Amino acid sequence: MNIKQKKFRTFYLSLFFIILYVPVLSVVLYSFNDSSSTAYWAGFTLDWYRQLFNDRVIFESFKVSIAVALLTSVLSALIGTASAIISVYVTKKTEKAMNGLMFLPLIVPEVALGVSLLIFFSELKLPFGIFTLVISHSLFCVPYVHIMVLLRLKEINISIIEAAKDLGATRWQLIKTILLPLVMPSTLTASLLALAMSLDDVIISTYMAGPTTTTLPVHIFSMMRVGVTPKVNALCTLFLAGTFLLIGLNQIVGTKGGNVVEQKQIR
Amino acid sequence: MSKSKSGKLSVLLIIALLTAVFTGCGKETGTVEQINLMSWGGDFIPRQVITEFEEETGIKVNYKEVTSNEDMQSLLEANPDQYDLAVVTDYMVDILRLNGNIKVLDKGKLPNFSNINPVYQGNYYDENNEYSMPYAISTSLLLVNPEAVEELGADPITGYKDLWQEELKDKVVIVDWSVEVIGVVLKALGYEYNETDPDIVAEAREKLFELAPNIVRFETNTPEDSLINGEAVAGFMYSNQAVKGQAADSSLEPVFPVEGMPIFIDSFVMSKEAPNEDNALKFLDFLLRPEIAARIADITNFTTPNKAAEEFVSEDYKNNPMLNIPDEVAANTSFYIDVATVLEEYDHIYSEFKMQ
Repeated sequence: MNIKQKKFRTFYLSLFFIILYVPVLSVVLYSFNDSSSTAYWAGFTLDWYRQLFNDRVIFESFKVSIAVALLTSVLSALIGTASAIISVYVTKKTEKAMNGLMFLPLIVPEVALGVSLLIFFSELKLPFGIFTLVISHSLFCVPYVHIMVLLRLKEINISIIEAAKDLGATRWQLIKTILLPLVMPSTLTASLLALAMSLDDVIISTYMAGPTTTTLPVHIFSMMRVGVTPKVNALCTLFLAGTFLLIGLNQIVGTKGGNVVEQKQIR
Repeated sequence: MSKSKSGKLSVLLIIALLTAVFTGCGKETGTVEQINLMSWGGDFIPRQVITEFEEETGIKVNYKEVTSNEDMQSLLEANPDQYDLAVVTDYMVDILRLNGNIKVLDKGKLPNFSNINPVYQGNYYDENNEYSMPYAISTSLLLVNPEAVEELGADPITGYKDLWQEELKDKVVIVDWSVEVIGVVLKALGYEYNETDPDIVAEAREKLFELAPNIVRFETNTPEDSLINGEAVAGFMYSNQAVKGQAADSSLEPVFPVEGMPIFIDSFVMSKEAPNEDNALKFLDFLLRPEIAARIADITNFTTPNKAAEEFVSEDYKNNPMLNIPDEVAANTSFYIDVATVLEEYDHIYSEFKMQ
């Protein structure tokens, strides 16, 4: 690669990240602004953070969000990994059908999904709350796990599996000792993704939450009518810090499973 | 060995988590004295008022937050037995009433209902005041920086028609909703909101397109900020936003458009199958107390429909015509009626307008 190319690459990447992160930085900046308006800078303060930590409602909805996100990531990791492994063992036709069905929740508009889930669960007379939230969030998180694990499965060297079969491994032994350990990094990465998506969701959560289980994004969104204060900026800043932490974690976990070698091959 | 151990451990962990969740749910569904309430969040119904009610009566208030009238409609339709109360805007009271999703309020258990100002009663959505209890009133109006308007060489702004002045190029901020923006145009032309006559709509469309050069920003959440930072000199926004804007910058002044302005009356309604009707009525009567209603008005920047509250409100509220709406201004307001019938057409025109 010559110098010109290198310079262009640096320029392009910096431009990309500036456009991506400058608006986010302004959110961070105004979380320290000594005014309830985001129209001008009025001096530095930590007041909004103080208010944030004293806000019982934000704390409660944060707890709900975290509980739902953790349960969703565990549940969708279990179901998604299982379905991906199963889809390897069924006929080609069934596999195609399975994959098609997996894509469905990603294609259907969220509002439609939310309303139909609302009708479905009320027909079942299930009490709305954390349970319905976890089930419905898993619905749109499982496909991501399924796809990511499936891609990893397709990469596995067939001779490892043949060798195992030659040595008399049963199907269960094969799954337990070869497939599961090999896809584990993908499962973990996907479950982190599920965690993030569950934390993010507004539309489905609006319909699925019960009277006592408002999630954090819904709480923030519902504040629009009265007006949002920089308390929300402060919250966003903390969330951003948390997200960077998660992404960092994801990077560490994601590069463990031999992906490094593959990336080098591409280059 | 260690692999299978960690596997067993994770299974145990999941079971523990799930049981925690289910026992958690079990606790909530006990026979506690409670009410389930749903509305916009934040401090729309101030938490300190709710806490005071909980401490006084021992009734727990579960406050579900939603983002729109339509969300509340779907939830009341699907789960009428999970909610007691909702706060919806005027037009939604009408829809819920016609669809049979709400029930008549037992006025015998609301002795404080007489505190409500008659001006805000008997409207089209509830002629006999059976189904709804007015809670918060807001309007849309113009917030203007008169000095800046003068500096630009434009005439003083007294109504919507003045927004079309050439001098105001790139100096107007407006809320981002088709019905509201086209409403401004219709009023400027001397018509009413939500006209359906094709000729009038065509005329409004043309007039709307002429406004385009003057609009610097469409902003629903914080339009007042554009005036504070000088980006705009006039804006059409909701009254609670204008109140905030004027508090931050005293050179800004509200203008009640001579053509009249829209009004929104957010009202409490009761679900048809409300599980805790008596407790819910206790809560409503608590909110109707003059000193409580005054406190709510001071916190939320919404006008209270409570006549008796007027002696308890703060000086700021009393002296602010956007909150303490003078009778002659209140007389010149109107509702957005039958939004559903015009929405598609208006949205279409509006998206064409924005793509210009």
